[in-house]
Amino acid sequence: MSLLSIAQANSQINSLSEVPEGMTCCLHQSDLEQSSSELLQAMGLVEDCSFQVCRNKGTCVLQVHSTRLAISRELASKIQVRVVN
Amino acid sequence: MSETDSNNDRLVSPGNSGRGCIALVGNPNTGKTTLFNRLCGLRARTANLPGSTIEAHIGSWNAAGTECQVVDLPGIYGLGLDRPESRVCREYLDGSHSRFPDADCIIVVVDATNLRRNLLLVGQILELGKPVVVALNMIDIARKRRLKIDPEQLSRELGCPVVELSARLGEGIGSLADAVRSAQPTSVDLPPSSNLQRCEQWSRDVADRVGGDSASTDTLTARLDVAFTHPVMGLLSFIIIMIGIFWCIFAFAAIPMDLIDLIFGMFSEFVSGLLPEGLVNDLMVDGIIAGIGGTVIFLPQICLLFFLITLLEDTGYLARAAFVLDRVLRPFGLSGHSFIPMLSAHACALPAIMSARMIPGRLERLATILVAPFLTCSARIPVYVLLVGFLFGDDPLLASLAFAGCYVLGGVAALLCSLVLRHTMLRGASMPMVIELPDFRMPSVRTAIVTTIDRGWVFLKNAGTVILGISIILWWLSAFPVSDPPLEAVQLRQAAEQVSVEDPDAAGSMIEQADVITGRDQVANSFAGRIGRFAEPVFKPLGFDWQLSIGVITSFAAREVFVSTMAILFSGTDDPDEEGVLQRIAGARRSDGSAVFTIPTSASLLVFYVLAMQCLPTLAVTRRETGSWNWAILQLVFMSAIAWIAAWITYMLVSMGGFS
Repeated sequence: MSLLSIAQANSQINSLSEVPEGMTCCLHQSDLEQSSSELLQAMGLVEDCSFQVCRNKGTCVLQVHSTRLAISRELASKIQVRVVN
Repeated sequence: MSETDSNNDRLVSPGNSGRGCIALVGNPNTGKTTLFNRLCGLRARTANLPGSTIEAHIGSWNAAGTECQVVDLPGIYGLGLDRPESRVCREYLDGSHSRFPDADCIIVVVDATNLRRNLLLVGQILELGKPVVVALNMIDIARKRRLKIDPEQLSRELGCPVVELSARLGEGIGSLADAVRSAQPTSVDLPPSSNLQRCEQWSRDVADRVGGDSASTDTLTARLDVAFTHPVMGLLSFIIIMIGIFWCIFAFAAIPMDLIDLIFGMFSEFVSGLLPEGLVNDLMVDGIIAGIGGTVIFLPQICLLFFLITLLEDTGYLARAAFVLDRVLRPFGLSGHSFIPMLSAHACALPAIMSARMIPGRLERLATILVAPFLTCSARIPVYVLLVGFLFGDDPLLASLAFAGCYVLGGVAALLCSLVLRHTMLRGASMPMVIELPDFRMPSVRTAIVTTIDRGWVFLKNAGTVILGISIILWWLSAFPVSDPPLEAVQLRQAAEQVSVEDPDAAGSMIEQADVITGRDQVANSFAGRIGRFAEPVFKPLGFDWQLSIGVITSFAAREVFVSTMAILFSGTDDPDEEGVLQRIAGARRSDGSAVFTIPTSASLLVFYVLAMQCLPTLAVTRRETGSWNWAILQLVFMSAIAWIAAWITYMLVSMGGFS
C-alpha cells in the first residue's frame, strides 16, 4: 500500500497507513476490536485528537500530544484520519 | 509485638486513618519502579498478585522512623481495560483478595511531562474513594522543558495532595511521607470513568488550568528515533547493541568468575584439611562445595546481564527494540510483545515465561512460553563453556564461533517451533502491536543495582536450595553402596607397599592408579551408576555412556547441574590437588578405558543441551502460567524429541566426518 501525495492526503479522509510522514492528522474513526480501541483511547488517541505522523514505513510512529506511540501497520490501516496540514 | 507497638511502626497508625499499606499505581514509564526502589531499596521482595501470576514488588518504606508496606503494581493505562495487568490492579485495589494487604492509601505516579494523559488514570483512581496522593514525578525533566505546573492548583482540582518529585534524583521524597499522612478520599466531583469523552475533556481542562497542557516533546528522542525506529537502521542498531551487551558480559565477568573459582578452591582445600578423612569430608568437598561452586561461579554473568538489561530498559530503548523486532517476529507467529520475554530468556527461562503475562494475545503468549526455553539461558553457559572448551579449546576463534552458534541454534529452533505451533495447535490471528515509545533519558544506576541484587539473590537462593539438595543427593547416590576395592587396585597397593622403600615415586604412582581404579569402580557400582546404566540405551545412539546419562538425568532438575555432576562423578578418579575440575572431566574414561568426551560425543552433547528442556522449574512455571500440565508436558516432549534427533544427527555426521 503506497502513501498518498500530500495534496491527495489533504483532500479526504484516509487510512492512517496511507498518510505521508510529517503530516498532522485528526482521528476520524476506527474499525478496531474493542480491546485495541480502548487501549488506544487510554493512551491518548481519542476521537478528534490531533497528532503528527512521525514515521509510516512498515510500522507507524505517532506523536500524540506528549505521547509517542508505535502501532503496527495492520492496526494503522483500520484507523481513519483527517489530514489537518 | 503488641498491636499498639506494631501500629507505632507504621507510617500512619491504622488507629489514625488505617494506613498501613500503600499501593503505587501509574502509567507505564512514569518512573514508578524507580520511586519504589527509592522508597524501599533492598527491603523488598517479589510476589505474585492474588488470583494471578502477575508480579508485584512488596517493600517496606521507612520514612523518618515510621514504617509502612509499599506494593508496586504493574504499569497500566487504565483500570477498566481488558488486559491482564489492568485486571489484577483492579482486583487488588477493589480489595477482592485475602493474602495481600489492602491498600490504605494509593500513590499515583504521574509523568509531569505528560500530565494530560496521566490524569485519565488519576481520575479513575480517585473514583475508588480511597485516600490518594499524586506524585508528580520527573519534575526535573519538566522544568528543563520549561513546563510550569502549579502543584497547589492541581491539588485543589483533584482534591488530594500533590507532591513534586524526581524519583531518579531523590528529590521530594520527604514531602511524600507528609502527603501520605494527610491524604483523604477526594470530595471533588469527577466525571464518571465510564464516559471517556468527558474524562478526556476533564483531563485536558485540568492540565490546561495547572499549566501542564503544553505538548512536551523531546527533540533528542525525535532525532534518535530516526535511526532506532527505522526498518533497517533500527534492526542494525539492535544487533550492534546486543553484541555489545554479550561482549560486556563475557569480557567483564571473567575476573569475578576467576575470583569465585579461587575462593571456592581455597575453601575446598581448607575444609578438606580441617575435617578428618571420611564420609563427612567427602560430602562437604566432593558433594556440597563442588556442586555449589560449579554453579555460583556464573553469578557475575547473570548479574551483569540483568544490570545491562535494566539500564537499557531505563533509557527507553527496549520499547524501540520491541517495535523494530515486531516485523521480524510476526512471520513466525510472534510479535514485538514477545521480545522482552525472549530477551529475558537469555538470562533465565523462568522470568522470561513469567514476563510473557504481559503479552496481550493468548495464542502469542502461549507460543512465547512454549519456545522461550530454547533460547540460551545462563544455566546453559557452564555446559557450553565445558563442551566448547573440549571441542575447540586450542582455537579461540572457533570456540567463540561455536559459542555464538549455540545462541543462533537456540534462536532458530525457537522461531521455527513457534511457526509450526502457530500453524497447528495455536492457529489464529496475532494481536496488533501498540506500544508507547518513552522519551530517551539517562538510566538510573541505583535502580539497575537494586534489580541486579534482587535477581542475583534469587539465583543464589536457588543455588543454596535446589542445587545444594541435588548435589547432596547425587553425592549420596555416587558414594553408596560402598563397594570393595577391585582386585586390580588391591594388587597395585600391595605392589606399592613392596617397593615403597627403594622406589617411593613408583609406589606413589601405583597408589594413585589404585585410587583411580577404586573411584571408577565405586561410581560404576553405586546407585548413580545403576541409574546411568539403566538409562544408557536411550542415550547410546547419541554417543553417551552411562556416566553422561547420569549427567543428563540429574541436570533435568537444572541444566547447570550437569557440570557439577561431572565434577562429582569424576572427583574420585584422579587427584584433585594436581588438576583442576575441567582437566579431571576432560580426562574422564569410559568403562572400556576409552575417553568419555570424544569429539562426536562432545558435539552431540552440546547440541542436545542447546535444544533440550533440561529444567524442572521451567516446566513448573509453564504449568503455572498456562494453567495446565498439558502445555508443560507438550513442551517437554517436543523439546526433548527435537534435542535427541538433532544430537543424533550431529553425532552421526561428526563421526562420519572422521573425527574421533
